[in-house]
This record gives sequence, structure tokens and C-alpha cells, in this order.
Amino acid sequence: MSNNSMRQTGLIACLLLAGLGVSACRQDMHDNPKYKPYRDGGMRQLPEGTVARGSLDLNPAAPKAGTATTPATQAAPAVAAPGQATTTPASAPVPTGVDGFPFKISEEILKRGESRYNISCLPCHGKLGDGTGMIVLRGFRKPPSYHEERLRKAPSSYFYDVISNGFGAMSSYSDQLTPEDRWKVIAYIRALQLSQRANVADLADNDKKELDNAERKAQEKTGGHSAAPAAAPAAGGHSN
Amino acid sequence: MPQLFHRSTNTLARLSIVVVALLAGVGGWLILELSRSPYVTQAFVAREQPVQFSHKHHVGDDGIDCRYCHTTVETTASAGMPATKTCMNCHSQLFANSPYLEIVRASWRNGEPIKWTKVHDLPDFAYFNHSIHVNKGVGCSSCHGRVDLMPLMWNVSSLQMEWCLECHRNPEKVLRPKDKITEMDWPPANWDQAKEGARLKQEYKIQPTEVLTSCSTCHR
Ligand code: HEC
Ligand code: HEC
Ligand code: HEC
Ligand code: HEC
Ligand code: HEC
Ligand code: HEC
Repeated sequence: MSNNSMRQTGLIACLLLAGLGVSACRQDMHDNPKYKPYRDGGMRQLPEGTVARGSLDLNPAAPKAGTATTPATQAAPAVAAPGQATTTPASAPVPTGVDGFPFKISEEILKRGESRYNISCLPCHGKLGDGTGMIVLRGFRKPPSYHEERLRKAPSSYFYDVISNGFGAMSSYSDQLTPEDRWKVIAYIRALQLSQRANVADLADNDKKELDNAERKAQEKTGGHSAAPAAAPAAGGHSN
Repeated sequence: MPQLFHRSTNTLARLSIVVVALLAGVGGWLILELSRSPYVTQAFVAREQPVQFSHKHHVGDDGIDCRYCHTTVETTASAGMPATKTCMNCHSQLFANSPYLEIVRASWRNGEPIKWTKVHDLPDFAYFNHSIHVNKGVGCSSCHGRVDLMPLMWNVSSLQMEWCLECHRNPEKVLRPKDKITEMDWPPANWDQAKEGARLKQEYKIQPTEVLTSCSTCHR
């Protein structure tokens, strides 16, 4: 073999090696030195008392701007107690607080409330709110039915407090539901209660007025005696 | 001097060109196939997790909605991985002494989030966003398969660019009503995808193919 062709072979080998060198290092672009969510584990716990931006108006548990020290529960004095209890209270508390909603109830709101209820509450409280969800059947403590006299008469801020602070064996759902969605869930629970009611006259006056309209609409839609009044919107959902 | 090569060598030489070309072709094809195969993309390979969390139990048997745990899937790019508190909502009572849940309880005590092994992991130069898909009627099972049947999580696609593009060219093949996105056994038997898909594509105002397949949609 001549010197010349030896040199050529050498050159080609060098080029091939260099090519290998250039084509390697793929992973550098796959894993940039930047932060992506959940690289090091699941979500963190919300620090206690966290309030999302823009949700103050809907959030009776949050101090109002300017009066930073006003305790939340001022609007609903007696409701703070059950939330703080970590063990099951010996006797069911008498719910007190303020009734009504921070917005006008509409069909749209009930639909949103239904979808959030089905996600967050249905596993335990069941489709009808009677406290026989799947998780209860698997051995979780059975919650009281929403159709009990005591809870039918409970003002809406009492429900808000239970969702936000937890109650007995039920933990707080404040990190899974925004304040707005909590109110919508409550509106839906009201509709559930109405749908299973024995007598409208038992209800607080405020609720009657606000929900009669919404419920009539929902019932027209599902044909009257459906268990879940705002059930199964055809192509509803909530986009934003 | 006698002839060094036999006459047939001419034919062999010509043949060898064809053979080499063929071999290169087959080799190239093999490489392409290999790069799409589950061996490389890790599709259908269940990953070990620090806790033996089963979607089959929680979703399939207990009927918990995806969004109970993956709370941000409708609002942000990432679907969100549940905080330890979410597990404790139930496991403070259920299986409260199970050894399988020791890591969950330890994480609850010391506040360190559980380190799940990532199953789906796009390269960082590709941009993906859950909320746009979910809010335009693309359901979880269209991309993640029958999660409710998975004892341990695996992915059901290559997650390669060609997979994204295949759907971005024909989104009407998967669109469904927005309130059914977490339904695992979608579609029902009487659902006419061709007809309804075309209708929903209009209703949701899905962007034209040029936009959905333009490089800067996913590489930004
Ligand atoms: C993991 C199961 C579980 C989930 C999910 C759940 N709850 Fe409960 N809930 C309970 C249990 C258990 C009780 C009874 C607590 C007790 O008595 O210790 C209860 C009690 C209640 C009460 C009654 C309080 C009283 O005065 O008796 C209300 C109201 C309530 N839950 C609302 C909700 C709402 C709204 C949601 C959804 C955002 C929800 N719950 C989700 C388990 C659950
Ligand atoms: C009870 C809580 C819970 C529910 C409900 C739930 N998941 Fe998960 N999901 C988890 C946890 C914890 C992980 C991490 C462990 C794992 O990968 O298996 C996870 C992981 C995943 C992953 C893989 C994430 C990765 O690493 O790439 C996907 C995809 C997923 N879930 C989809 C779903 C879908 C779809 C549903 C509804 C059908 C659902 N999940 C319901 C808790 C839940
Ligand atoms: C809404 C209630 C609920 C939530 C939230 C929940 N689980 Fe469960 N989990 C259950 C039920 C019910 C079972 C029993 C499953 C069955 O047999 O169908 C279970 C079973 C388990 C088991 C098997 C336990 C054993 O000893 O066999 C593990 C592990 C587990 N869950 C982990 C988790 C993790 C991790 C999370 C948080 C991401 C979580 N779970 C969230 C209800 C829940
Ligand atoms: C269009 C396809 C598509 C749809 C629809 C989809 N996902 Fe995903 N999902 C992905 C991809 C791709 C990733 C990987 C993202 C990454 O690595 O950045 C992923 C990752 C995840 C993860 C891991 C955490 C994260 O965000 O990286 C979870 C959990 C998850 N998906 C749950 C869901 C749930 C629940 C739904 C339905 C509500 C859903 N996905 C719908 C494609 C999809
Ligand atoms: C099963 C179908 C499907 C798959 C698979 C899919 N997409 Fe999409 N994607 C859609 C639809 C439908 C839209 C909504 C288009 C619109 O907004 O009009 C969309 C929108 C997007 C958008 C937003 C476009 C914009 O201009 O706002 C991005 C980014 C995107 N997809 C990235 C990806 C990536 C990356 C993958 C692969 C990992 C992927 N998608 C896989 C169906 C899919
Ligand atoms: C629908 C989303 C989407 C669009 C549109 C898209 N890409 Fe990609 N691209 C991806 C994803 C996801 C990957 C990562 C695939 C993987 O994991 O190997 C990728 C990977 C790549 C890679 C790296 C391949 C590798 O193996 O490392 C290149 C180069 C690339 N894309 C170029 C382009 C160009 C050029 C265009 C426009 C013609 C384009 N992409 C349009 C989603 C997209």
C-alpha cells in the first residue's frame, strides 16, 4: 500500500470519529438546565391562610383589604369552631352564619357546580348527597346526608366554612377548589336538597327566592323528577 | 500474466453496488423503526414508583375523577401531580396502617413531596400544554389510553413529533363534548365520530392545519 492511500485512510477515519463526536450529546437539548414543574415531586402543601389573587371578594375566610386583621369569621361567627376540630365532635353543631351567594345563581353556575361536586365531593357524599359514595362503601366514615333537616336549614356560609376548613373526619378542600368554585358547589348542593325536598317551606327564605328560578330551569331540562336537577348537560362544560 | 479476476467478477462488482444500496436502505429503515419502537420510546413499559399507586384501583374501581388529583389539568400547561394532602384526604382513615403507604405518611409528616418517577417526559425544546387540549374537547384517553386499567402507569404512545402531528392534522378524529374529557370508556357505541367530530371542530373553532403543524406552535 502506498503512503498516499495510507494518509487517505487515516483522514477518513479521523473525519468519521469527528462526526461521531459532533452527533453525540443529544440529551443536552432534551434536558435543558431550566426548571420544569414536578421535576422533584408532587405539589406542595399550600401554606395556611393562602388566598389566591383576585379571590378576596368571594372569600369570607380572607381578611378584606385595608382591614387586614378583621377575622374572616366575623361574617359568620359560630362557624369557625367545627372547622378547627380535628376529632369528631361529640354532637353535631348547630350551623349558623349568613345565607345567600356572592353572585346570582344561573344555570351555567349550577352546571359548573355539578361538575366540581362530582369531582370533589361525590366520592364520599354520593351522587345524591346522601353520604353513600364509593369511598364510604370502602370503609371511610359515613358523612351525614345533605337532606337532613339540620343541613337543609344550614346557611350557605356554613357549607363554605366546611369546604374551606374541613369538618371532623373530612379535610379541607381549599387547595382543590377555588373560592368561586366552592360557592358554585354549594349552589349545586342547594339544588340537590331542593330536588329531594319534602317541603319547600322548610327552607330559609333567601334560598327559596334565589333557587326557585334556577331549579325550575334545571327541572324543565331534565324532565321534572330527576334526582340530580342539573344533570348531564349535552355539550356544556366550562371553558375560559 | 494470467488474468487476476474471473469474468464473472464484473457482474459481482455491479451486483455489489445494488446490494450495498439495499443494505443501506434496510439499515436506515431498521434505525427508523427502532427509534419508534417501544424499546427506545419506552411506550407500554410500566415504571416502578416509590409508592405502589394504582390508577386501576382509584379510577377504575373507586371511580375517582382524574381532576380530583390532577387539579390543574384544565387551567395550566401541566396536569399537576397531587400533593400528599390529597392522598391523606382518604388515607388518614383508609389503610391508615398499610405498609404500602408508609412513604406517603412520612411525606405528610416531614412536608417533603413524594418523588414520583416521571412516565411522560417530552424533551425540553418541545412545548406542550394540557389546558388547550382539554378545553377543546381532547380527552385524557385519546393521549393516555385506558388509565383506569393500569395498575402501574405506562404511556401508550411514542410521544414523538410524528404522533403530535398525526392528530394535529386530523383533530376531528378525537374531539368529544367538553364535559366528557375524563371519561375513560369514551366513545359510547352510538357515537358517530365522523359526523360529530366535524361538528365539534366548527363549534370549538379549531385552528387550521397550517397553524397546528407550524414549527413555532410546539418549538417556541
Ligand atoms: C374523603 C371523603 C369526603 C369528601 C371527598 C368530601 N367529604 Fe364532606 N364529609 C365527609 C365526612 C366523613 C363527613 C362527616 C365528618 C364527621 O362527622 O366527622 C363530612 C361532612 C360534610 C358536611 C356536614 C358537616 C356537618 O355539619 O355535619 C358537609 C356540608 C360536607 N361534608 C360538604 C362537603 C363538600 C361540599 C365536599 C366537596 C367539596 C365534601 N364534603 C367532600 C367526607 C368527605
Ligand atoms: C387518587 C389520585 C389520582 C387520580 C384520581 C388520578 N391520578 Fe393520575 N396520577 C396520580 C399519581 C399519584 C401519579 C404518579 C404515580 C404514577 O405515575 O403512577 C399519577 C400519574 C399519572 C400520569 C403519569 C404522569 C407522568 O409521570 O408522566 C398520568 C398520565 C395520569 N396520572 C393520568 C391520569 C388520568 C387520565 C386520570 C383519570 C382517569 C388520573 N390520572 C386519575 C394520582 C391520581
Ligand atoms: C378519594 C379517596 C382516595 C384518595 C384521595 C386516595 N386514595 Fe388510595 N385508596 C383509596 C381506596 C378506597 C383504596 C382501596 C382500593 C381498592 O381496593 O379498591 C386505596 C388504596 C390505596 C393503596 C393500596 C393500599 C393497600 O394497602 O393495599 C395505595 C398504595 C394508595 N391507595 C395510595 C394512594 C396515594 C399515593 C394517593 C395520593 C396520590 C391516594 N392513594 C389517594 C382511596 C383513596
Ligand atoms: C393531547 C394529548 C394529551 C391529552 C389530551 C392529555 N395529556 Fe396528559 N400528557 C400529555 C403529554 C405529551 C405529557 C408529557 C408532558 C411533558 O413531559 O411535558 C402529559 C403528561 C401528563 C401528566 C404528568 C404531569 C405533567 O403535566 O407533565 C399527567 C398527570 C397527565 N398528563 C394527566 C392528564 C389528564 C388527567 C388528562 C385529561 C384531563 C390528560 N393528561 C390529557 C398528553 C396529553
Ligand atoms: C389527540 C389529538 C392531539 C394530540 C395527540 C396532540 N394534540 Fe396538540 N392540539 C390538539 C387540538 C385539538 C388542539 C387545539 C387546536 C386549537 O386551539 O384550535 C391542539 C393544540 C395544541 C397547541 C396550542 C396551539 C395554539 O396555537 O394555541 C399546542 C402547543 C399543542 N397542541 C402541542 C402538542 C404537542 C407538543 C403534542 C405532542 C406531544 C400534541 N399537541 C399532541 C390535538 C392534539
Ligand atoms: C405538534 C407539535 C410539533 C410541531 C408542529 C413541530 N414539532 Fe418538532 N418536535 C415536537 C416534539 C414533541 C418533539 C420531541 C420528539 C421526541 O421526543 O423525540 C420534536 C422534535 C423535533 C426535533 C428534534 C428531533 C430529535 O430527534 O431530537 C426537530 C429537529 C424538530 N422537532 C423540528 C421541527 C420542525 C422543523 C418543525 C416544523 C416543520 C416542527 N418540528 C414542528 C413537536 C412538534
